[in-house]
Amino acid sequence: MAEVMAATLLDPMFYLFVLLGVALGIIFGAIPGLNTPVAIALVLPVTYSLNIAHTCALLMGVFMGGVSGGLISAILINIPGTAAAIATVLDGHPMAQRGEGARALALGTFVSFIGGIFSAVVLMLFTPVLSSFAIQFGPWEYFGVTLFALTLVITLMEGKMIKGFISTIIGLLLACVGMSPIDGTQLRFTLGSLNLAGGFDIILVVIGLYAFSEILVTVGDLKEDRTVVKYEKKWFYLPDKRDLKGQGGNILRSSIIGTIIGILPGIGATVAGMFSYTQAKRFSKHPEKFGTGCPDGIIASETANNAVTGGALVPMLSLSVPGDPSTAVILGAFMIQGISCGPLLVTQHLDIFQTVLVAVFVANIFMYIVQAGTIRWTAQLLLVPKYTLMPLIVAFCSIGAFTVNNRVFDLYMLLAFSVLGFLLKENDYPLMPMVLAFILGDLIEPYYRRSVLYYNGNLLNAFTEFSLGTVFVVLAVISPFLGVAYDKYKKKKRERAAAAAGPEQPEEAQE
Amino acid sequence: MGELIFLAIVGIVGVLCYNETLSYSVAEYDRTGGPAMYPQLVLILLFIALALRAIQILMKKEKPKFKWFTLFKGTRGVFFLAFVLFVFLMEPLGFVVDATLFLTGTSLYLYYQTTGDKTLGGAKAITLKVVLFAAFNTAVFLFFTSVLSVGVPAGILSFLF
Repeated sequence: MAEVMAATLLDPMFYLFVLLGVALGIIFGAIPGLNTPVAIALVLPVTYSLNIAHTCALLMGVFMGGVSGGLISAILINIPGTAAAIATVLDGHPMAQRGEGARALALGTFVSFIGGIFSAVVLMLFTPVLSSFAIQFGPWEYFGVTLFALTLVITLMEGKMIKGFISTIIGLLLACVGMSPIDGTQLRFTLGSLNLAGGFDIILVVIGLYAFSEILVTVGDLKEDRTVVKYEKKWFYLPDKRDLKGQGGNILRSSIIGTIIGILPGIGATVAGMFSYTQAKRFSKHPEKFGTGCPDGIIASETANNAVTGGALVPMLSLSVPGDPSTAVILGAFMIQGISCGPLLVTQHLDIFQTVLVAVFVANIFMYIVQAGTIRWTAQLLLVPKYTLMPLIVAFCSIGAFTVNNRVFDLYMLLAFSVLGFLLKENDYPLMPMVLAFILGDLIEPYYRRSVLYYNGNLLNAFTEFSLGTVFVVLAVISPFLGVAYDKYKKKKRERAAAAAGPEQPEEAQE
Repeated sequence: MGELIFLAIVGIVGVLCYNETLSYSVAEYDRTGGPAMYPQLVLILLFIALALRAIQILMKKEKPKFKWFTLFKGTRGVFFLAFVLFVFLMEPLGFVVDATLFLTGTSLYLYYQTTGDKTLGGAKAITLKVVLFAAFNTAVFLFFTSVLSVGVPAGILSFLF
């Protein structure tokens, strides 16, 4: 195993792919309208011809760079490059407006690195523990965990749980298309087309549903009125020591929040950043300064959103359950490479796990070096007109989709998924559960059918004895109801608060 | 009403799928439930979800407006049409020509829509765009075919590549 590690660490191409990935990720993260899953989808076709180590390097680079890149536009143009950087806008842009843009950028980049490294350490320590625990799992336990992950994602869709439910089911159905698993005897829902015998390719689904639908939304509202706030130009942006003084607690708390939220499926970096920000404000000695250009806010938001990266990889690597949209796409890329995530990855394919770990650590280090060293140029990219950028991405993604099977049929499918994705997105149906369900659908059916086999054709037998799988299935069934109850409780609480605030402040209370 | 129609369409597709699963045969030795069991379960969940959403809509005083055709309107509609043409012309024209036409056409159109500049930046800028896009597409083509060794349609330029 040490030889594999050494080979990875001594391979210059490995570093080159991390560097390429980080650079691409930062660019996609920085430009509003583009995001990390789109960047990952864009490089998926390239991974076909790469070996596992280079694939990991490229994907982890894009992932780490993408989450971090959002802070540049958040600070300099008051628009978060990715949703993860929403909370960074609150203090980052006011700092930039009063001439402290360079200070804010340097601080944000540095704490992003700290958050990323913290979660990478958790990934390194926690994944083997979770894997050794999960090694005892049978198909029923896996079925339970996967089902629970899906329902948890639906449950967390506050206000649109049923839409999330529909979206998830459509994703599961899309995964059913093609040859049936286990028996391998029945072509399902192929409409007689042999082109669908292998089912839909993950690249088509991700690019169509996620990337193109996003581009179609953006194209309908092209505004090129972005102005970059003036900031001090430097060759390398190092944080001001004064900004980090006394911030140990804030950094640690934000790192923990980000990592835990990352581990939980479906919540993601946006919530992590916002939640961490509110917690930092709550524990701050000067909460009134938050929102006026306070470095503490940037620290909380950027540490947490980058800490999500390692956290989200924990369930993906140990249980094959992705924690966020980006890891869902990465899981799909790993499947294409023939890498099966799950507890056996750590126990039987330690070399791959170690390669992923090395890639995560190197990607975080490169993310810091590249971002801190190239902000002055990345900021210029914010001004690249979208009227050129969007068609370029469409052309590149299309050719990537074509190369999946070298057939035009896949482009038609891409078109169909783009239309479906756009229609659902326009009508406020969440797409993330659909992509997640499509990816997990390939796993959940075999687990389900093997469970049926294990329990002699009757799954009710599973409820006659204690099993962790049964616990997860029960949790999966009751969690949406608990979600509904919690939503109602929150609604009532808001109404009570509105009533207490009096008729003159109803809007504020509702917020 | 619009969303109810959407739910009905999804429901009809679901019924057709369910109907198809009824024809799936199960091997005698297969004790995992056969290829139909799982999709049937998923489809039943779909019907439940659709019914729940329909009830939710019907109970609302203000019915949410369903946006059916925003994809086909205005700038987005033109861009989408160009994308459709790009997809359908990929094989006959080849990637380099098709993508150059698509990129030049859409970027000029979007430029006009964004800036309102009727000259489209002038003849020099347009020529530069065409040259740059052609170079970019040739580079992408060569990257995929030569570096990654995957096939990309050469179309009318097949005598060159």
